[in-house]
Amino acid sequence: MSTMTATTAPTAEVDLAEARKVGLNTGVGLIIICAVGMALTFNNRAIIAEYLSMGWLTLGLLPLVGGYLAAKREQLEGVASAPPGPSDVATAGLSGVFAGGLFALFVVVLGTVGDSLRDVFVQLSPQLLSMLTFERGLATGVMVALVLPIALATLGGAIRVAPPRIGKAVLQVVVWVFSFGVLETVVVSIFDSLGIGDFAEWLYAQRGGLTVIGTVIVAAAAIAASTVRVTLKRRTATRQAAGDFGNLTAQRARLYGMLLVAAIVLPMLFDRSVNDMLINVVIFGIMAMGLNIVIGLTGMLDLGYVAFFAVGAYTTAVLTAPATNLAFSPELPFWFALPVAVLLAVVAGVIIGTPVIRLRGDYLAIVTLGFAAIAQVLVLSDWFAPVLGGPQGVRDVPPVPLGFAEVSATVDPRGFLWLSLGFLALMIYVAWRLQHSRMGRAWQAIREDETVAEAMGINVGAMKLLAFCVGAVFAALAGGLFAAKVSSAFPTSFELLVSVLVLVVVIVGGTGYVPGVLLGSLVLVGVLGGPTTQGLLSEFAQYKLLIYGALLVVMMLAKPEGLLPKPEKSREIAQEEMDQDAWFDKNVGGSSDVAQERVGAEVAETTEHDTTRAGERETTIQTDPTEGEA
Amino acid sequence: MTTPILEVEQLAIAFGGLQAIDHVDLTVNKGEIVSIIGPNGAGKTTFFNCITGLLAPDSGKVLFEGVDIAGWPADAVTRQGLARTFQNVRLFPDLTILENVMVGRHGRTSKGLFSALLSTPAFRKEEQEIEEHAKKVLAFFGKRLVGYRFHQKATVLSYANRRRLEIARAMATEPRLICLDEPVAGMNPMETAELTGLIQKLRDDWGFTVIMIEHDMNVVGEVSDRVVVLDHGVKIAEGDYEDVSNDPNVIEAYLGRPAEDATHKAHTVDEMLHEGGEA
Repeated sequence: MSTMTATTAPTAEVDLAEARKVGLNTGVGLIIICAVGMALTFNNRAIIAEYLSMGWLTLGLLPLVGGYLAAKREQLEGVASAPPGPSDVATAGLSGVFAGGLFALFVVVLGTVGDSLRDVFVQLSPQLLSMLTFERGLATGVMVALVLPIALATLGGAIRVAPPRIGKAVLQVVVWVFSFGVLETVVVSIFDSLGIGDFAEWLYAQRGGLTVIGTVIVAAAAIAASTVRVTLKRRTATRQAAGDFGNLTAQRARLYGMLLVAAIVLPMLFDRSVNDMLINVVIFGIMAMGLNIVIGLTGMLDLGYVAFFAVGAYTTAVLTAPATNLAFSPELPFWFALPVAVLLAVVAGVIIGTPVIRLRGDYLAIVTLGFAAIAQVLVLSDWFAPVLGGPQGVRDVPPVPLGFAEVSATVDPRGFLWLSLGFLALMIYVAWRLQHSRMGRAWQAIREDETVAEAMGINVGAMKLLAFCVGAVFAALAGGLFAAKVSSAFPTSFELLVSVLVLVVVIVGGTGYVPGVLLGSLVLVGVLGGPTTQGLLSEFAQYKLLIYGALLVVMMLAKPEGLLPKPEKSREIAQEEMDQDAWFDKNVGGSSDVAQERVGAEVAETTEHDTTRAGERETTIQTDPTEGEA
Repeated sequence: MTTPILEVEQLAIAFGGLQAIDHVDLTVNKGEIVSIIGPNGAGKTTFFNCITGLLAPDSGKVLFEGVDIAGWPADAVTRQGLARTFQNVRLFPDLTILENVMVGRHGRTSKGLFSALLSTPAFRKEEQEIEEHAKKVLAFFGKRLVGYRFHQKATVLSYANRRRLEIARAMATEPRLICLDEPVAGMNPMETAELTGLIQKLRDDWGFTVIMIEHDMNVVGEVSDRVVVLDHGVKIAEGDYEDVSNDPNVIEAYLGRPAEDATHKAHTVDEMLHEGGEA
């Protein structure tokens, strides 16, 4: 029936294998979310009051994303392939059938023999069953479990197939509604401070979650924002195509100005708990920037990083606190203690670093892991107890004196947040200066190829030790701030886990790029919670490690460069490339061989014009004309 | 008058029972281009590794401008004025082309941590000097590695351009002696011809002395003042290209022994087959 000619693209077919793969993975994901108790715990937080809980949102997102991925066909450049169409949606829907089937099976098992399984799977509780069945009997539950994934997967496929603009708008709506639902406390506190608390009552229901009207408002705002952004982007693209790149310096200055204003104004709008959380984000951000120098730039996998954090915190605490249980408490002011802490961290860095610096890769990781364990044993030991307080730790670390006021996180987190932000700005400057110096380049060369770096005249041992110590300085500074913030230093705050979490922050955020690392800190420490601190979502607390681990695996597979990877200098390159193209066209007049020969003498040294292709066109300088024909 | 820049005396290194370099002597005079040739596994790259500090020789001396650098770490050797490239191109793939070359300036610059933090005028001047020198070195290869290329990652380059970039990186260390390990391997004839010219320019315009390992005999014949042949870690011949290429020892090293042995073996095999047929 169809008139197939050699030139028409092949028609798309339902990809059963892909649907099965994605569908079964989605189904297993749904079951795991239920079986570890995540679905039930998250069910307590409403995103849209009475209609959608975070538990169901989590369960719903999985088939939605699965359907989107199943509908995504690999497009090979230069190979004719069918345009996205109904068959792709069918593939997505089919993936939903597999996912729904598996999940329905799970609900059946839960409803029938769930009680006997509970000995092993403690989270398969009757409450989970009533959540999944809406307390309307097993049949309803099975129907929901079967139909919902199919519907959502089909929707996901449809979004993929629909024009990208619609897909982006839907994504925006989902992200905005989710964010507004999750960040309820933050939004309400901002509205209250702005004196428009009444509006917040419109937006949010009494017992948490967006109201229906609120959801509509947020969705409308999301679509509006999406449209504005698309228009702006198109305008920028048109302008850039015309060769106008704007004033980059001015753009950058404007960005910094906005960041500065935000850093000053926002803490005033947030309430205590949010500010408190942001202090943690900043402290871990400073630490992550230091680890970024060690891992991201120099490529040394240091798992004992927490040791320097502990050195900073304990030094500050011991030197400042009026502790009665300690043999030594000089009660120095914070501003004397902090430099001492940093100095001691450098000494510790040299002591730990010197013997291990020659090790590479995994060996370094294992040895530093050992140091992290040793650090905690030492802190807890009887030997150090008179100085460090043993398991009791050091208490009553005084607030930070600023001359005109004393900044204490327990009294007013806002002031302490500003103080931490000041330190953050300082350390961003330090990290940035170092990265763009000959030290930074040497570190990166060592990361890329240690042997060659050495052959290029870099004293590899010395540079690695330097990176180790610079990282230690960042960690010690963060430790000092941490001790002052929680006004104590306990051994439990310096577990190996801290090292691991900071490592995850660096990797998830974007290795080797400071803004990426800070974003990682905001997302992980802010939303999910740090090692000993709570994030915005207290529900995450018990699943923190699971989510951190899953996130790490997903990031490594899907986006190893991190959430916010280091941008290439693409705009400047694009501009220079266009200049070069323009020059080429003007002087060579197209790229015909005749024309090239005509100006051959002037263009003797080659012009490569098409950079995007891997196989380059090489017009060669011929030193000896007779050789040319070879 | 010729002054030696590199004098290798009785250099030897063994890996377990294998004598990879067997007491080799070599003198290279200032301004010479010397090629080292030999069959695969002859010890050419090991010889390079020994004189550039990547391997510490078991015994022998490596006198570079009269200083014995045998056993020095590679970075010290490079700062002393002896740079190298690698046989299997080893760039810093995630750094830009300009940064790759700027790394080569590390040993020739000195500003430390605090001047970088304070961004002192001296530091900025040095950074500028590093960048300018790197750009000057890259311009040596025509328009290939300049302009918008500066800020592209080294991974986007074609194979020939990667080889060029590696030479540029070695040039940036301001060597007086540069060791090129198979500089034209993998290049097409035109690219080879061009690079051959550039190797001569390395000496004539930049004043470098060049030691080169190369398998392409056209290149070796064209640029070398002297050719050294290694086989099984032993220097079996030395002289100008004509002499060396007619040396029976060299021909034997490359092509194997004359026919008597071979016929004897064939005879044996024939006998074995014969016996096999009977059984």
